[in-house]
Amino acid sequence: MKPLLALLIVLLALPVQAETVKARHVTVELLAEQAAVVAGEPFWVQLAFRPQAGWHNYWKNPGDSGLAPRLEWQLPSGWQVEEPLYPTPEAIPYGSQMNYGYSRPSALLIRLLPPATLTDATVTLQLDVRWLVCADACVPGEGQFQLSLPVAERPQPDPDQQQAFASARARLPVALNTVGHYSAHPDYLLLQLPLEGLPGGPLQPFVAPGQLVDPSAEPVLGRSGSQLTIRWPRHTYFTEAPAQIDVVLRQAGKGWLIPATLQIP
Amino acid sequence: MKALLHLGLGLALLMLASLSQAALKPGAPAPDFTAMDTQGNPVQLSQLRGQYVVLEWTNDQCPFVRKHYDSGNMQALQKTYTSKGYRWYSIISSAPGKQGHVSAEQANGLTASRNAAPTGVIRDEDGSIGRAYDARTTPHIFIIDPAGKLVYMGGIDSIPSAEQADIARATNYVKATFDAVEAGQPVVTPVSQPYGCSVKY
Repeated sequence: MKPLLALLIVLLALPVQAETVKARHVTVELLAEQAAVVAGEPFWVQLAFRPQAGWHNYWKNPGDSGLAPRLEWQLPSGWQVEEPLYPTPEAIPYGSQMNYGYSRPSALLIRLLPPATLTDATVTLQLDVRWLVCADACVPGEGQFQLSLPVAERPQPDPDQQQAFASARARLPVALNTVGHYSAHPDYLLLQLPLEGLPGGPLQPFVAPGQLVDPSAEPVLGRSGSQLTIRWPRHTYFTEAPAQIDVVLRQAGKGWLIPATLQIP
Repeated sequence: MKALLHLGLGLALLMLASLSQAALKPGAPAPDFTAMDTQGNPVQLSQLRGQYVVLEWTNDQCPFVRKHYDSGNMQALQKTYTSKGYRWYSIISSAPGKQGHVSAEQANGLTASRNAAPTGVIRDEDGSIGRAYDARTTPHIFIIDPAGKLVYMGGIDSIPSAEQADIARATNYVKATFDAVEAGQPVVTPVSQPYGCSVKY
């Protein structure tokens, strides 16, 4: 009993930089980019989803059905966490309905901000995640993830994690330094986006949040001068137009992100 | 004359087209339908004027539906409002071979085993009622007033999740709608985004 207890204490004291939950139809992993935490220095973690073949999880706007993952952090006092960055979604049709999500491995990138002073030698960060994976059927899942990271004077990027973070970043839509506009009309939303930074050729648009445009209706894209216009039938359940929305444009697996602000027509 | 006939035909077609696409929205007429419920009773929505009617899209295998049945939430709502004389129809639009598709006997068995209390269960195997309402999720709720107009359409409550623990924290939109209309007040949230599994047309 005693050696076991000793082992347990050793294990508890070891840094935990990644934690994996193997759930039904999906493996979910939380990992930190840094091997140690530095007071006042923001750092990144990622929450990776690896769905079984034929299954998918969801974008922040899941489309006609489905559910975005829900993240609840339990952080020591003084810590802050930013909204997760989502990789470029895929359009996943189901009959005449449309969902937005990921049928291949994907990861949310999340920036954590430690306070200016850290007194403990180790910090423990806990994340509770609830998700939904679907094929034809849907299976909700949940996992608790805990990271234990030593506190250090300077950042210690972990070489083992560089590949995972590089590929997660490569799957994020490129945030263009431009801003578009949109207006809400009785039957449709009209998006007007600068073409600057976007490639030629067909683009597939995605809009978040949900409840704005109809995921299963066909958006009509047009280019005129330096502008991309997208006319998209309004969501049946549209209630109000937020001040700003996110537009992601996808082409050949890559994505570009442009915020669009509301213009009253 | 012929031209006039064509014009008339064209207009009629236009009107038909606009009728079939009549926007589903609060205040608009709810699409009529006829069906046989799983007990063999005929149901025609337009014959139910004078009563509130709830339409609940369902699929007993869907975790979002199970959230509201395993907790007893859906059955409690059904009992509350059918006891007031309102009509509550659970509609299964799963196509044969798809998840949630059941025979009438299985549907009645589910009602019994779950202690559910709808007025009736309708099997919409060809999805025609589901498509008329553009039902996209299970659950998905429509509430129709005694004049046959939609007063609410959307999710069952305000927290999209598959967790029973969220039910108590959420605003239930069936209750909120009936609380408002029974008090002669406007419905605060007549539309919300439905959440759940896709309808297995």
